[in-house]
Amino acid sequence: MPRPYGHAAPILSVLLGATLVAGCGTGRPEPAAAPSGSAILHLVLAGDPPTLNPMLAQDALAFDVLNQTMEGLTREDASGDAQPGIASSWQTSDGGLTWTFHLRSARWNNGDPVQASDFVYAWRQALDPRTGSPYQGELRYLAGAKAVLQLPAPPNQTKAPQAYQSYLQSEGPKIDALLNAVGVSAPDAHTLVVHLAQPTPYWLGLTSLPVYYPEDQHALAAWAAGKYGTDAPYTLSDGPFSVSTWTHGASLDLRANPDYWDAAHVHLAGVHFEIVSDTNTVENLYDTKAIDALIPTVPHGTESQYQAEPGFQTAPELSVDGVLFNAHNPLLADVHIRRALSEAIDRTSLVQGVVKANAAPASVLIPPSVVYAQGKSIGGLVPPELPTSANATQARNDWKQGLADLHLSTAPALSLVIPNAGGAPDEAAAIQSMWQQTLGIQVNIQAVDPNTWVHQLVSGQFQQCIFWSWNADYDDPETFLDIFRSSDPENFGHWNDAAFDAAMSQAAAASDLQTRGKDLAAAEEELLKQVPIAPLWFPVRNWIAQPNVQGIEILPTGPDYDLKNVSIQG
Amino acid sequence: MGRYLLGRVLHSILALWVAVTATFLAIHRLPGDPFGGAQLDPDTRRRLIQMYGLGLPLWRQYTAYLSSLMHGRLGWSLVSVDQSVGAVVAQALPVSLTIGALALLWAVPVGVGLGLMAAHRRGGVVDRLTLGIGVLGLGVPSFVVAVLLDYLVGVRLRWLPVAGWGTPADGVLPALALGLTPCAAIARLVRTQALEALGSEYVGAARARGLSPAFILVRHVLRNALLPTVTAIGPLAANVLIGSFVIESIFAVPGLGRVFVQSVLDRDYPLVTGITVVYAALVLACNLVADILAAAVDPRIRLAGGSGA
Repeated sequence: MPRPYGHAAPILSVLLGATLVAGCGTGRPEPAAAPSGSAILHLVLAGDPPTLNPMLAQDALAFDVLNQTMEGLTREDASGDAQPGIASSWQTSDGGLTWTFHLRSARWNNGDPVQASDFVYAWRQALDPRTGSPYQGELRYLAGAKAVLQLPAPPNQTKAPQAYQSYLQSEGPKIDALLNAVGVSAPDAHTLVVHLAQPTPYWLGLTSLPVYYPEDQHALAAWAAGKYGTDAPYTLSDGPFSVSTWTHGASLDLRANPDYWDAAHVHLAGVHFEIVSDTNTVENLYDTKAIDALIPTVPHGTESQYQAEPGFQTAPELSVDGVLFNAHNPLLADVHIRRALSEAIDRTSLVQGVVKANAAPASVLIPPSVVYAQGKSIGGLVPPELPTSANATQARNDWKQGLADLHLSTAPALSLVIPNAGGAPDEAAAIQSMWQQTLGIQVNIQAVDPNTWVHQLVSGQFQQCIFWSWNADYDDPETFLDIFRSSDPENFGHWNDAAFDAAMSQAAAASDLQTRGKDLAAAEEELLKQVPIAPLWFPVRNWIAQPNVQGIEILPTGPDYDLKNVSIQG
Repeated sequence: MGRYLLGRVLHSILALWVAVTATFLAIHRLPGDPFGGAQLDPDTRRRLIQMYGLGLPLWRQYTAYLSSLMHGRLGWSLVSVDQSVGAVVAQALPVSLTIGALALLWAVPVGVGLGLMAAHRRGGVVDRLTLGIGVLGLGVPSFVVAVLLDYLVGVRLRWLPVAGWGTPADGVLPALALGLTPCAAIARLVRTQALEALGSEYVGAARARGLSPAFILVRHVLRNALLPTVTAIGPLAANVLIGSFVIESIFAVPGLGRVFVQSVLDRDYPLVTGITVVYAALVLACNLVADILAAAVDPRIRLAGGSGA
C-alpha cells in the first residue's frame, strides 16, 4: 500500500515548526513501577480508531489496537515472520495450493470456543460485497475469491434505498453461491482447510492481518447489525488484551484477557491509549513521562534529539520512498529524461543532509530487509545498483539525449507534487535544487495536504512528478514490483514495459522459488534501467521507550506493533 | 420589538444556509475522499465511493443533504463506523463548552478588574500590565500562547499535565490559553469606557460630593462600563468557540474543535458540514442574544428596527 504521510494530522508542526518546543530534556527520576502483572503501559494514538471491526478496519489506528486484542491463525513477529497464533501448526500440500491449519483450544473473551468455522464465517463476510470491507483485496489469493471480488458494489442504502433492495434481490443468491464456493472450509472444529487459487509463497504472512481474523458469529448475532467494533461493549477478543473502556476521541483502555490461550505470558495488566493528534504534544507527553513510548516512530524531526537517549531503537521498515514519473506526460515518456532526473539526485547527500532519521540511500527499488523468495538466497542475482551519489555528467548527457529525442531545445518547467507533511517539503526543496543545478531546469513544487496528495497519486492525475512512498503489504519483493505491471490498478505512473511485464508473468508462473527469485530480480533490473520511479531512500522506524519498558515489538508490515510481551520493570 | 426579533431570526437562518452551502461546496471541492488516505487499492476505493453514494452528481448530494437537514438529521460519519454526526456532537460539544465556560469564567472578571484598575490609575503598573496583556491576547494567536504555556508550565515546571482530559487539572492550561483573548478584549473595552466615565460630569459631581474613589469606581464607572461589555460578550463567546479549534488539538482535549479539524483532514463530509451547522448556529445564537440585549438596553435600536420593518 502507499505509505501514508502525516496521518497524525501535524497541523501545528506545519504552522509553528517544531522549534518552539524542541530540545527538552528528561530530568526527573524514574517513577517506581508497579510489579509485573499490575503494570499499565501508557501510549498515544494519533486519532480515534474509526472502527474496531477487523473487517472494516483500514488504518493504523484500528490495526494497532486490533493487533493487541485479536489473533488470527498466525501472529507476526518483529522480523516479519508468521508465528503460531490460534493455529498451533499447519502443513501445505498440492504444491502449496492446499493449507491445513490445526487450531488450538482457544477461547473468545466471552467464553465461546474459537472454532475453525469462525474463520470460514469471517472470511466470507469480508469478501461479501454487502460488507464493504476495505481490505477484502487481501483475500484474493483464496480459490474462488476473485469471482466474488468482481461482483458490483451495492448502491447506497440510504440515498438509493430502492436500488439497494433490488440489488439484494437480484444479486443476493448469486453472492451467497459464490461465497460458498470460496476455498475455505472447516472439516471439524479444530481444522481449517484453505485452497489457494495458485501457489503463493508469502500467503501465510497475510494470515496475521485483521481481515483474516476469525469472528464469533454467535456473539455477533446477538448485537444489532453494524454495532460490532463501534464501542467497548461491542468488541470481542481472542488475543492478549480486550477493550475495557473506549471514550471516543479521548482515550481507549485495554486490559489483559484472562481467556487468552497464552495469558500466562502476558505481563501487563493493561494498556492506556490517550488520543493525541498534535505531534508536539506527543513529544511533551513522553518528555514528562506521561507516556511510556513513542511508537512506531518518534515525531518527525525529533530523531536526532532522542537518538542519544536510553531506550532509543531503530527497526526495519519494509518501504521505499522516491519520485514517481507520469509516463503519460510527453516529456517523461522519454526514458532518457527519466534517467537523467534520477541520475541528477545525489542520494547520499540527500539522506545525510535532509532526510536523516537513519534512512539509507536507495540504490535499488526493493528494501534490503526484503529477502528474495522467502529467505532463500538466490546467489548473485541481485539487480545492478544505482549509484547513490549524483552522476552529473551522465545526467546531463541523458538529458540532452532526451531533449533531442523530443526535438526540444529547452525543457519546460517541471512540476513535483508533494504532501505538505513530515519532511516532504524539505526533501522536495533539496531535489528541486539538485535538478536545477545539474540539469538547469525550473521545478515547481506543489505542496498539498496529505489527503489531496493521495488523491492525485491514486487517481494518476499528477502531471509530471510526485512523491511516492510504498509500504510492503507482505514480506516479498512482489509487493514492490507488482504495482509496476502495465495492467496493475496501482500503477499510478502509467508505465508500460513489455519486458518487465513478461518477467513478472514468468515469476508468477514459476514452479520453484529459485526460478521465481531470478524472474523477480530480472524484473527489478528492467525497472531500474527504465526508471518509471526514482527510488531515493529506505526509511527506518526510529522509536523510543522509557528505559524500564521491555518487550515492545515493532512489526515490519501490517499493524505497527505487538505489545503481547511487554513488561515494565520496577 | 417583535418585528425586530423576527427580522434578526430570519437573518440568522439565511446566514446559516449560506454557511452550510459554502461549507458543503468547499469540502466537496477539496480533492480526496474519506476512505483511509493512501491505503486502499483503487478497485475497493471505487466500490466504497459507490456504496456511500459519493459518485452521485454534487447537486443531488446537496439537495439530499439539505432535505435531511430540514428534517433535523445531520447524517452519519463516513469515517467512524456507526457514529452519527449528532452523537459525535453530543459527545464533543459539552467538552468544548466546558473549556469555553472555564475560559470566560476567569477572563470576564479579570478583564473587567484590569480595565477598571487601568483606568483608575492611568499610566500606572496595572495600566501597563493591561496593555501588555492586550498585546499578548489580541496580537499573538492563541495557539502560540498555548504552545508556550504548555512548554513552560507543563514540560519545564511540570505543575500541570501537558495534555489530556479527565481530571480538573487538565482543564487549567486550555482555559488559560483560550481566555487570554477575551480577557484582553474586555480589559480594553472596560478601560476605554471607564476613562470616558471618569471624565464625565456626573463623576465630577460625585467627587465633589466627597464620595470615596472606590465607591465612585464601582457605583458609577463600572456600571457605565459594563453595558457595552455585556453586549460584547456574545461575539466574544463565539470567538472562544472558534479559538478552541487549535487549542483543543494542542492539549488533546476531545472537544468539537479538534473533531472538526480532523474531519476536514479526513474528508468526512457529513461531519464537516454537520459541525459547521452546529458552530454557525451557536455563533448566530450568541450574536442574536447580544442583539436582543443591546436592543433591550438601548431603545433606539428596537425603535429603528420596528419602524424600518
